[in-house]
Amino acid sequence: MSKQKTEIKEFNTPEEFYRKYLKIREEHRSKGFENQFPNFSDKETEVEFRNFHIAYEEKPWTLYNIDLKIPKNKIVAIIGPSGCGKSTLLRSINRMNEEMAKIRTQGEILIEGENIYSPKVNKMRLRTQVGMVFQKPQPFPRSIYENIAFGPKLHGIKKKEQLDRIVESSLQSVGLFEEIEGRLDDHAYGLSGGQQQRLCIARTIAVRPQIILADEPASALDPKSTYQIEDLLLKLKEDFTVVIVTHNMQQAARISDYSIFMYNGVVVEYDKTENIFEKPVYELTENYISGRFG
Amino acid sequence: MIQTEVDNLKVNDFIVNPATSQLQKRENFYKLIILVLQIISVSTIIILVAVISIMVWFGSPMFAYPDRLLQMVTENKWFPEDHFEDGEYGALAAIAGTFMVGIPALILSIIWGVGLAIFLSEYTRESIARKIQPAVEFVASVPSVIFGMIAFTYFFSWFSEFFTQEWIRGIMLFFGYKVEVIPKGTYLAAAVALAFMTTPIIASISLDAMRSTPLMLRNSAKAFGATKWEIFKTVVYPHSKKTIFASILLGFGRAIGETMVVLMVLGNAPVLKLDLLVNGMTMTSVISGYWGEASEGSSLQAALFVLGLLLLSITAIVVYLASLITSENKAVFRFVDVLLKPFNYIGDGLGSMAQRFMQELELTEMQIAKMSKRRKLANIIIGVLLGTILLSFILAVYVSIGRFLISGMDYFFAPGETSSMYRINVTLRGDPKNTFVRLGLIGLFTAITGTISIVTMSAAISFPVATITGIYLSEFAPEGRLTIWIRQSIININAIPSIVVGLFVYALFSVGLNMGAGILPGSIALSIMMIPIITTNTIEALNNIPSHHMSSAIALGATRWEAFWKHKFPYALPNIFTGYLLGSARVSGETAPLLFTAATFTPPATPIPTNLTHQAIRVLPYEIYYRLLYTTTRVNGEKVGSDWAVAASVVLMLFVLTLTVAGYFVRTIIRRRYAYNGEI
Ligand SMILES: Nc1ncnc2c1ncn2[C@@H]1O[C@H](COP(=O)(O)OP(=O)(O)O)[C@@H](O)[C@H]1O
Ligand SMILES: [Mg+2]
Repeated sequence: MSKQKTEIKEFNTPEEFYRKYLKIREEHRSKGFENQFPNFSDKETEVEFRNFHIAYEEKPWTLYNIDLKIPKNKIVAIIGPSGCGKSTLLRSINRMNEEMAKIRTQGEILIEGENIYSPKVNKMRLRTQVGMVFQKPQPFPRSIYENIAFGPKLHGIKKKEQLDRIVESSLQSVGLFEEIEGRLDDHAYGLSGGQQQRLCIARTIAVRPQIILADEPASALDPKSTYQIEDLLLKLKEDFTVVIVTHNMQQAARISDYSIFMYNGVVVEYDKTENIFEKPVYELTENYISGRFG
Repeated sequence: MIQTEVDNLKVNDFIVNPATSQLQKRENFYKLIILVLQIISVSTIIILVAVISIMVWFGSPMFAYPDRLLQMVTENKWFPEDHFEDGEYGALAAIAGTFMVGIPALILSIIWGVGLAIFLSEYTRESIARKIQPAVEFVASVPSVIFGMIAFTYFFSWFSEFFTQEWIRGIMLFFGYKVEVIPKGTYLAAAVALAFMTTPIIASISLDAMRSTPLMLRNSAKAFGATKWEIFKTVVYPHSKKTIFASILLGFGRAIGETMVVLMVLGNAPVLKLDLLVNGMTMTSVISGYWGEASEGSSLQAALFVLGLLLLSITAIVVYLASLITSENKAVFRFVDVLLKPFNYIGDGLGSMAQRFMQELELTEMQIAKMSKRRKLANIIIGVLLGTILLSFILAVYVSIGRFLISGMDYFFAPGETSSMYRINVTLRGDPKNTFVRLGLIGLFTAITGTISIVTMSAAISFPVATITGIYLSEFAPEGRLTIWIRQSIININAIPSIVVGLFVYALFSVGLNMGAGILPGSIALSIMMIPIITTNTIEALNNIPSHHMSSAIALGATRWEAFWKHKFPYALPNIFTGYLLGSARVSGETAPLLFTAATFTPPATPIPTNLTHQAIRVLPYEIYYRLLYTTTRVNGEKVGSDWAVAASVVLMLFVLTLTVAGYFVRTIIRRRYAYNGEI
């Protein structure tokens, strides 16, 4: 405990923390630990961070030198204490950070070999490729049908039959279609919290992204609905790459293939989930996972 | 075990892959829209700059005579001639009079407004407070001519009765004041009427601020056993004092800029005396009272514009102070804190934060547990006092309005020679057989249609500008100088006294653009009054809608505009519409801006004006004012004017009430479309 506290005080900016972290990493490597981040071939890679930094307004870097690859059709969990930058990391993949505040970035994030921060990239198209599910279930105050049809309509699908099929298949893929028994015109707020969150996932799926980002998607739900969402994410990874932020260690262990442990704006450890949970390399990771701080 | 069917998922059913050209188009549209919003919002800056420049321009003939300018603020001799070489231009009585009305009105409305706000926020359950609040806020939409009528009709006799009581005389004499014959219109009467109008402003802004005190702070104070009054003193007051002071200043600005009440009540007498029970004049009453004598380009006209400019400067300073207080400028705040010391005792030296309070209490926790009798008693006494303040306001206002309206109803329904139907008919349509047409027996029908026409036209001009400015400011304006200017312009336009708006529109549109008096210049004047109201309301309506709907839409690939248009604007519409109707209700009673730009007493040929310019129209509030001028005229030994003015007041009140009630109805009706159990 006390050791942890002094450490936090010592490295108050992510940049300072990163310098210290590099030293520790080198020490580890000289002792023969293998602590590389997982590597994937270009074909296996969905998103690649290359020395990516981001900062809000005039503040110091919030994320410092993120350099890692996220594999296709896997679930990658981001864990770490609150305020360490998990949401910021997630939102930098669909460039939602810049919709909430003024930001500056350095480095690159590549999707299909293209830097999404290059001026040529169209943010609207990017967001059809990278969908996002928020923390609280937040359907639009409209009917179930309109909730799902909004995205496709926006992007130019106008034919009623096409929209109908998209709505149906999207609802089916989240297991809602049977549950609501065709009451597509009911107000979305009539659904339970868990159903609303699945509706939000269906709404995201409806624009056919490759990647689904989920920021603590189950933290506002009861255990049963949480389980449903987890189950759903596991099945969705057959068709999508899923990146999920979670505060719930069991959840990360249960559903994710890989885990990223972040601390103070820096990715400390990234590995197969079982490795992170069973034999973490760093003391910091171990302390966090065993619940010694958070 | 929950089953999720994923087998049916065929991701490649449809590829949502918007064409680059389509994306480009949407993006360009977004940029275009923002540009349009920005350009329209900038018009608020233009309005403000135009008002100031035109006032200066039309007052400028007087600037060539510095001695006359000096005379204006130092002497009390007002005999304007055609040229500045001749005559006297001392308006000291009017300048002093402005404060003779404004300060008593300020003191009264602080006691009423802040007192009842404290009572409603601390001593009343919120559910009950929310029921009482509309009764207070409705007073703000009662037109000033009606308060003028009330002050004129009742306050005189009430004051005479009150101040001629022996014991009151005795008390006054003790303080060295000898009550003499009380004239018909007095500073005190005008001040009370103005306090009626400014109290709701102060009360509702202060109440909002007090309610927004974080619950945590309140609860921690409560946990230490603080009484309601102590919670207010130590937690709520420090949290909300800035806003309370700002609201007081805004109310004061309103009071000194108000025209109709002082014009109808004070009698425009150049009395320079520190006495509230005398006739008097103010800057606004001089401007409107002497306007009829001012020929175009005369020195009198220039002098009136300079007086308007002076008034504008005073209100601008008041608003500036208010904005300094609400931003973090401590020095100015302390200055005002000292200025308003009589009120400041509430802070009671415990001005800082809840923490300090809790620290202090921690030491004596045991004593706190057994709350001392003395503190309990203080709490109850203050509660009763505040409750009395609330009650006195509600009673004073509603008894006056009620009595006034009942006397108006009497006019229609009291038994008499003629039937009620006949009287209603004559009131609306006039009586062709009656020969006293000049005295107003021409029926109110064309005044009603005139009011509807001018309000509709002002709505058509101001709603788009105001709504767009509100949208721009709340959703799309980047942080920067331009945005600050637009914001400041709206605040300042809101504070322009209505008589100055009248002067401006007269100068620029009636004379400058040769529109004369008519519905168009009149509507422009009312629009200037309406734009800040609607803009502020739009911003508030949008802020009340959670922004996550927009974020969700953007995350689905919408542009910021698309997200706003589909998932914020529609949800805010009910409240925006309510604002439209309440704003219309407010301006439908405005008289001062129309005095020089639109209103006439002459009956028009058609109910709805056929020309936009050079065709003055009848409107209800002007009708009331004009008919009152004839109160003292007797026809066959019978007073005529005041009865007609009362009748017109009843009709105007009905008009305002209808719009207000419609405003609340519209909200509930449109809301049903999106909200689910009231939730958006
Ligand atoms: N919109 C924003 N504007 C400014 N700073 C922000 C914003 N969002 C997050 N931050 C800051 O970035 C840091 C990381 O926040 P976040 O990514 O939300 O962390 P986490 O999701 O791990 O709790 C925090 O210090 C937070 O204050
Ligand atoms: Mg977060």
